[in-house]
Amino acid sequence: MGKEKDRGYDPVIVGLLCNWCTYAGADLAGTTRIKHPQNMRAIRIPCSGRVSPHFLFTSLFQGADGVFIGGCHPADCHYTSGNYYARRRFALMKSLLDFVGIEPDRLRLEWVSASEGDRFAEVVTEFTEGVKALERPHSLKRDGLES
Amino acid sequence: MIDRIRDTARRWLADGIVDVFLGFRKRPDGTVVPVRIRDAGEADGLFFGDGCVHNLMGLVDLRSEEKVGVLLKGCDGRAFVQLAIEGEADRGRFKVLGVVCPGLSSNGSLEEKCETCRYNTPPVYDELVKEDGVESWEKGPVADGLAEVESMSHPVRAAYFKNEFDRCIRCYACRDICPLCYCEECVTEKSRPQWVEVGVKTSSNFYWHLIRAYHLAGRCVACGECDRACPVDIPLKYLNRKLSREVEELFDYVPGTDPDATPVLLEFKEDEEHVLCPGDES
Repeated sequence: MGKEKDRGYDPVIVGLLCNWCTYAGADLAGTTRIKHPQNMRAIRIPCSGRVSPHFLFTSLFQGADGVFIGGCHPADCHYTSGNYYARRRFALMKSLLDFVGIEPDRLRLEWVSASEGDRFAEVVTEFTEGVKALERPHSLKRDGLES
Repeated sequence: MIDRIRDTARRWLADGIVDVFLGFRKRPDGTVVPVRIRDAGEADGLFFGDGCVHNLMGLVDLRSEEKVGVLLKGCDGRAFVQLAIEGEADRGRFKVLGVVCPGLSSNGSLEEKCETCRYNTPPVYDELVKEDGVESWEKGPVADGLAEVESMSHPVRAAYFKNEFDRCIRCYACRDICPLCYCEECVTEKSRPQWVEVGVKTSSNFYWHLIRAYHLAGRCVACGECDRACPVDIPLKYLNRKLSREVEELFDYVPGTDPDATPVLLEFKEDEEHVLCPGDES
């Protein structure tokens, strides 16, 4: 945020990553030194099914430009079905936020397994670029006072 | 029809089938209010007609063990069904007097919620009353008035809702009147962690309205009570309708219409990846 002068729009992205798959995938991307943008702040959660709408709303209202959620691939959830519930909930959270003025490109749910370090780097790069392409913080940042 | 409502309530109370009956009463000044009656003799004061907009399911004490008789229109009946499938209303405790709702008017024009009504009859009932010439019907999706908001760009939409939510005085009337908002401890009252700030300001108002709408996703029965209760006329219906439409389009679910359904966010299909990118179903 504070670096907008020299780096253009440098978004803050909150990453909610499932402990069993995506967090390990992120780890693998790091240990295998695959280059990807550093905008994302990774938060380890037990399961994508743990994602409450509060996590999205609070992130966005307290300064995040985008929220990325990573979970296990369908049929691979450590808790059998957490990701399926997450998928339904996320679809609704996203459409509600879209309706009140948050661009859909700021929210993403992806399935990344523990062995997919390269895929992790890929989707995070793509997502970050998508948020950067919006060129400015969303309208609800800073007390919703920006136009 | 009013006579049949009175007769039924009188009979249920007199026979001890119910301990209390919830209906409507017209006051001498013409306003209509919900009433709870416990004595069969009071049944003569019951009324049904224009002005009976209240959703009586919102006034039922879900924690009580009393047997309840309740007069339900189509929208109220959906609230009953939704509460039942969520395990909050025990079918055996309730005697439902259903009304085939003719649509309610105020000042000569149809209530807004009745214009967008899709089910004029409760999905379940023990007895049903109707006026001559008024039949039960169901409709598919109707115009929901969202196009105007949806045609705005994202920043303009945000400004529109900011402007609306700015008026909010956080009285929580929308929550208190809602038949589906039954949590004993609302998220707004929790302080560890305190997700929703208590103060009245743009960001916390915005947060409150988003979480209120989201908590009703796949549950809202479109009774319009939140909208009616709002003292500062925030268009809460838009948020509810938006989510209702998404739920119907993505999951083919209309809250409160099927007594055997599972609440939409408590189940899933393995094969529905398309919900993540609607409109892109390939």
